[in-house]
Amino acid sequence: MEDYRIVDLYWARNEAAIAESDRKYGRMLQSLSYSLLSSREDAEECVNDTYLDAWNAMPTARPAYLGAFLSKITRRISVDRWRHIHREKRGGVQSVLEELGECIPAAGGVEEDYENGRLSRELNTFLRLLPTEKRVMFLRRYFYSQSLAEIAEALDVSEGKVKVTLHRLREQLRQRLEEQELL
Amino acid sequence: MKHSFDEKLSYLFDEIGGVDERMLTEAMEYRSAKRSAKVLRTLTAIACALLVTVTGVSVILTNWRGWFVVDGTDSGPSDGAFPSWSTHTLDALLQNARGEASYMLLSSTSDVTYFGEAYLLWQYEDDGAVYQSRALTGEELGRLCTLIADGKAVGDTSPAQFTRVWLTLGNGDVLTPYLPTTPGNISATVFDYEAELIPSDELISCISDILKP
Repeated sequence: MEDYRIVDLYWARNEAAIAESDRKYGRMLQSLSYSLLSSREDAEECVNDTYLDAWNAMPTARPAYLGAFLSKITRRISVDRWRHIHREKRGGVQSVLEELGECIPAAGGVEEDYENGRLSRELNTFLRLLPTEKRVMFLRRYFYSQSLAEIAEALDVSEGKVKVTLHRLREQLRQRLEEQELL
Repeated sequence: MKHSFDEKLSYLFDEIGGVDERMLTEAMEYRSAKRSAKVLRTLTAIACALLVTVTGVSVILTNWRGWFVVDGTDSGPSDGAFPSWSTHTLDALLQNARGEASYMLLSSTSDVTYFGEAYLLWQYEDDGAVYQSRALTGEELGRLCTLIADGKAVGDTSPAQFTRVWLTLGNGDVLTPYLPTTPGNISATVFDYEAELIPSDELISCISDILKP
């Protein structure tokens, strides 16, 4: 089913939207979440939560790229869960510090840039200026958390080439962020 | 405000999660030109293999019936002579005799004459018409009835059969060489049967003689 039809189902509050989303993107979302969490059960829960978030977001959202839209939600939920798991493993001190941190007012710097979207814009610009293959490598690795082997297979290049390219891209990004006095 | 490395990393990691959805879609759908060419080559190879297989199977299906027929000494009709129809099966005999045997065409089994003369009747799977032999002599009829009783029982698997055969005895009874001559198998309803017997070689030879023009 075409993305726009699935989105129409969400807007019509038709529960078939979730089944169709799962049929079309379920495996990809599961893979994305699993690559972050390394747990099939957690990944499954994150994907289910993704559909719930999507259900709540539509309407009002009307994504043109449903796969990417759902991927973003899955990634966010999975990262949150990953942080939650690691926080629990590190014990209560970290949690207390984080709670206290919420009481401290933001005073500029990176957090401000993060809030006002500078970092986001710079990152998008950086990616847009890259050649397609390099951009694809970067996003498959740092958004979709694919392994070097998976990227190499998808792009029909050696793992070594992926590794070297990603290293150079990280270096380029670091220089760009430094120039812009970000991070 | 100075932020720790972990915090900076965390911000960056989160921002990557918010990049343009068009670029995310592109990243998942992107296939390198080399890989696309490889996929195309693979698909072409599969298509060629399928074509060869389908062609081979078609040739086999078209010709396989003939492969199981054992030719006699004659290779085919010549000088208007009737071909040798020596075969292992009655089915093959009738297939070979198609268009060459001496027969009268009936439009269906409802046109069969049950009383008077005795006839051998046969029908092809792909043809609704019924082929009727010349009238049988008393001697031929007696021999056919005897030979039908000599048929061997079909095993677990019935042989492929593309023809159906009957014998009208002239007294209202109908037999088929594919069923034993028990009371239930002798009647006008025998036109619809499941083979239980394999006709003997002698019976096939006898029918072959009857069909000769």
